[in-house]
Amino acid sequence: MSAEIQQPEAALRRSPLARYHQSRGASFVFRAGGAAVRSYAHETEKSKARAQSIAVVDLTCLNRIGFKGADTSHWLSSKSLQLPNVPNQSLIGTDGTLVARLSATEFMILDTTANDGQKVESLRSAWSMDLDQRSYLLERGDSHSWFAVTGELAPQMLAKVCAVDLRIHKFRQLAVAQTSVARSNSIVVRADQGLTPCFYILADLSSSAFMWASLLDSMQEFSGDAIGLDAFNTLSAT
Amino acid sequence: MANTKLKQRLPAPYGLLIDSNMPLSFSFEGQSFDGFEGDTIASALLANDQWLISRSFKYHRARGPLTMAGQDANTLVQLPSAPNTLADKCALESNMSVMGQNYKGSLARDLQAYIGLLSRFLPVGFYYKAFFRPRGIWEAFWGPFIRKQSGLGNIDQSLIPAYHDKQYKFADVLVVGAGPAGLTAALAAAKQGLEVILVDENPVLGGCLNYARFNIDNSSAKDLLKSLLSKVTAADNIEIMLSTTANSWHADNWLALITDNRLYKVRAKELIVCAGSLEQQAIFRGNDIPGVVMSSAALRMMHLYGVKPGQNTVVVSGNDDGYMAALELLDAGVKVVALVDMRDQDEPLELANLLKQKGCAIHQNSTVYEAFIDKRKHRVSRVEVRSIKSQGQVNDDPVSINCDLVCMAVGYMPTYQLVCQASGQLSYDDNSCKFSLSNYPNNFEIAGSVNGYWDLNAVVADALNKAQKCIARLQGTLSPELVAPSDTIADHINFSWPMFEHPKGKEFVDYDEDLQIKDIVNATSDGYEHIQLVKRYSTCGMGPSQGRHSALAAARLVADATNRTVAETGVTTARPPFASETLAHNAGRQFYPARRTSIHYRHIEQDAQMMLAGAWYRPAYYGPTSNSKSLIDAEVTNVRNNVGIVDVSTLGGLEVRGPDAAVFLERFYTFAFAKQPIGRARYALLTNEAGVVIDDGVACRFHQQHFYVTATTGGVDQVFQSMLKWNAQWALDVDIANATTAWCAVNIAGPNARKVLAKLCEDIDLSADAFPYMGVRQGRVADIPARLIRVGFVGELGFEIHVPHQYGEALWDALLAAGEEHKIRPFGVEAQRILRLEKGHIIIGQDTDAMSNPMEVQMSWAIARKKPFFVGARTIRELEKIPQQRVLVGFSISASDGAMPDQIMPKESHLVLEGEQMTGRVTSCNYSPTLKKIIGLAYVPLNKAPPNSVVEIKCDQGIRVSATVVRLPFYDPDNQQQEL
Repeated sequence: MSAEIQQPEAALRRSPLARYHQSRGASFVFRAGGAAVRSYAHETEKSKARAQSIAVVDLTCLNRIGFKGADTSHWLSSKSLQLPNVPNQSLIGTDGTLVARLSATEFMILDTTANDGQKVESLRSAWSMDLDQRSYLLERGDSHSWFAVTGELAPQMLAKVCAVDLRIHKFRQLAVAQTSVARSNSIVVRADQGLTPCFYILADLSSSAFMWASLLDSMQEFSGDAIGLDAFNTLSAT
Repeated sequence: MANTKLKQRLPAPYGLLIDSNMPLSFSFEGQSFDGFEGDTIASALLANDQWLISRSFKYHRARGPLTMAGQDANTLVQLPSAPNTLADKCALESNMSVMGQNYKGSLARDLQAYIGLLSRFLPVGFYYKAFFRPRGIWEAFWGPFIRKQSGLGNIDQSLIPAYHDKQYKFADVLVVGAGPAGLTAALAAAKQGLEVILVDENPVLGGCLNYARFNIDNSSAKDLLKSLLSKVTAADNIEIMLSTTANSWHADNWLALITDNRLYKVRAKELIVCAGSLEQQAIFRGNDIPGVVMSSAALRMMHLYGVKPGQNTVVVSGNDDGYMAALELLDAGVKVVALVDMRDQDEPLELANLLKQKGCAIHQNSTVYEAFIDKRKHRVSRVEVRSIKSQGQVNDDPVSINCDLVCMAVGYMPTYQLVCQASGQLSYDDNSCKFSLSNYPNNFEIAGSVNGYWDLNAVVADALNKAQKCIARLQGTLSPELVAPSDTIADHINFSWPMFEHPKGKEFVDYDEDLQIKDIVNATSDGYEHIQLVKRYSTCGMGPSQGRHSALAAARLVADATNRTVAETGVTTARPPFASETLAHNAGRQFYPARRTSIHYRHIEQDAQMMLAGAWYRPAYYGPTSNSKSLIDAEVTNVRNNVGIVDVSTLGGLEVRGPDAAVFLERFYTFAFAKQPIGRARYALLTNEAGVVIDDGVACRFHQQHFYVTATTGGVDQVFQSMLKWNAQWALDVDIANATTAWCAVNIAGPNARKVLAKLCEDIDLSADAFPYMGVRQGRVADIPARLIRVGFVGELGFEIHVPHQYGEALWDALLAAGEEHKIRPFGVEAQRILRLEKGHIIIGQDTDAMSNPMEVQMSWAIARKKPFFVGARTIRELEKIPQQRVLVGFSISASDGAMPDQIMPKESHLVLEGEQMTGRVTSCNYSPTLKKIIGLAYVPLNKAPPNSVVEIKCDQGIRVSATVVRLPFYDPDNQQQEL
């Protein structure tokens, strides 16, 4: 279960943006072995409104994993995961886990649920090189940062950094784009939170500071800012 | 003191763009002026009767507005933050400080105007023929002189660039130009529910409908504008982008639109270019004097800015538009003293009679032969009119007419730039003098005057037709049968030869470059007959306006001089951009996608000096820059004698998994991997098909079907791509993943490395027997899941610890804490480079080049000879049959060789000489704090390869240093240290 954590350094797993979050007076919550931002000092009761307009949240500490190989769809199905039928689509399972199909043989599983990514952990535990199958684990949690850009203005703001037409009526819910965001190879998944448009952006973890700064800069003209998990989670209730 | 007397303003409804309730003050050349919100700099100056705005590029001639549309270089002015600003385009701002440019003294009294008097000594192409004789004159005189003269305006080097950014946009239909054709086309597409973007470089919709006259009572334009505006602005699916320039077209209808500080990158499924046309000048002596303007410019002055352009006007015309302009001027209270019609027939009787009734004299079959400047040399004061004898020739029957404004209306060129950027072809009909554009791409249409239609009804019909074609394509329906509209005006819009050479010249074909008729003709006489060669020889069309007003005239002159038609001659190529754009627009936001390891902030907190290694930030060394050398030496010494840690997360990490993993590596790398035991690492040298060394690393076998392969920081992406390519070709049962970012790696090295690591590692036996050199293990370090590799890049007992990325900082902290009692300290890239050099390890890319093969870098040992194949094997076998030319050797320079470390140090790429002949080069060199001498690696010829050979190295300032070839490695030749 999630618990308060005073400083990111109290955990072994640390977001590349930990210093940034601290500099903005973030309070943290323990998630998936690391410190995720619960809220920032600048956040007010209007944070939800901001999240509905334009905001970005760092989900890098949450659990995610990937698998690829010819036997992957068979293996994941055997683990009770519903899979999208075609590449560049995603599905959200009944447990809230999002499965994005990146190619015929490659999948990425994202877990924003409050159960600390148990599904992802169970997959990680179940997988082994000793399994007689052609399915190979990819540690997406350590290769990719994970940000969520939320709000009605998100498509307009993302048009400043991404060449894919992400407008709501063009880039449908649960669509996946493997593209370039702010000059970095990225995976974009539309995963609305309640009625609020939301775009997950997964990009090279080592470039997190660049990507985060780029997104914040892009949303500046729309008065966008960073929000924590608390504000993010309120969206799914609406 | 502000000049508040605005003498030249017209009352509303003139001045569509200005707000006369919002006065603004500004200065020009240090003198105060007033204008209004909505003015451009030029319109405000004209309203103050200030027509002299700039000086020409070569002859420093007085220049004023020509087009009032930002399409010429005659209004370039200097702003504090930006030179070469178009005064007829740049919006006036309060307290703006504007200066002229390209003069010496003052704009009004330019001391360099004398150059115009020397024009006969500066013929076309003179710079190709001058300045180089007598020998040395360029360096001694002309070079410095011309360098001093060159450039327009001054750059503010202290300027902090304004924020610029970019944004993508998407449209079903993009319409460029919001004149009658553009508005019509946009509306037609929007009515079908399509997403339309309508772009115009002007601040209001309507284009020429806002100022031009299309019939005698001027009713048609007003009615059409009113109707179109109400519908277009009410359409929700038309996005209107004003003050936006469609600056370039790229493949698949990708257009760059620029507005303010933002570059929009638009993808349009369909594009309709309704960019209109560019009015062309008549060419006569003095056609550049301020006050000689395009007729459309005068109309813009009145209707857009409420500027009364003159008191007494002469209109020189080759079409009916001159008559329309004259009527507009008369309606505004400007006296038109004469209309000079170059045509000897086709006089529009109704228009001519109306003008005559209003007191305007009509001079048929005549031209303005010369314009004269006033005594202040600021503005036109008089013209000389002569009757036309034949093409370009006049009779000796001069008539002098006083005037302060000359309006030229002799024809147009289509605004062809975007179309030609899209590989469209511009053609010219010598009989009708009409242009046409063809061969543009699919999903690309042109409509309106750019397509050769001038009658307003025809323009609208053409736009509707083109919109229908786009709609049909987008909706996947058959394109309807479309009838091309008829247009009786189009055949008479361009006068065939509005050019009259004067014995004294100064009839300007190209205003930007001060090129006269004789310059173009002389270029052909010099043998440059092709229009592209004429352009480059004369620089015609190479100035800021990019041939907008010189391309047609030059083509006509070249055609005439070479006995060809204009159609045969053609015009020069139009390339992006359409208008000048700043580097800032192209650069966009100032972010650099640098990569940081998970320990990045710890490095900074530990006072590391960070450097870029490829795309990564890496610590060069720890401590202040003032003490760098001793700090680096201390880091080296600490590793040799104690223990240090270095962040090697930037090393490439590739997961090679599957039943054929070993087979794949066998084929990919030079070494053997098939029988490599699990738990062992092997050196992996990579060559390409040409046998050139392109990367190296170690392949760690963690499972029968799993290798974790490292690669160099800069080479991993190339290696990964190469692996994917070969895997696709070989169709092996193997999966390859680039896991570089996923792993953080720290190398702990030094005699005490094992002791420190043992404090953090409970589940792996670290003893030399249990975990030997080149062994690999998986376990936990500081409770973090880890892969451990016993390698010795720096030549000491060492363990590379690879942990998941986000655990990197915790690992670093744990290692430093555990090593505190051993005085562990981090070391950076600089120390690592020295350590590896002492051990004689090469760095691929630094000690190798695009030709280096394994034999040259003494790595034949890394080639498995018994393998039937690996990438590059065949070439290497062939290379081994021919004599080797060079070899990479170690060398040293000690104090006894006469070289002191701080005084003489060969650097990378310094030459190895034999006499005066270059025989090799240095690839690495440094002072070894361990060995107390300079050591390095260098390519030398084979005869210099044996140890104790002496080679000569040419260092900085030509100093030659003798170096002794030594056997590698320099340090610990028996590997006792690394195999502890």
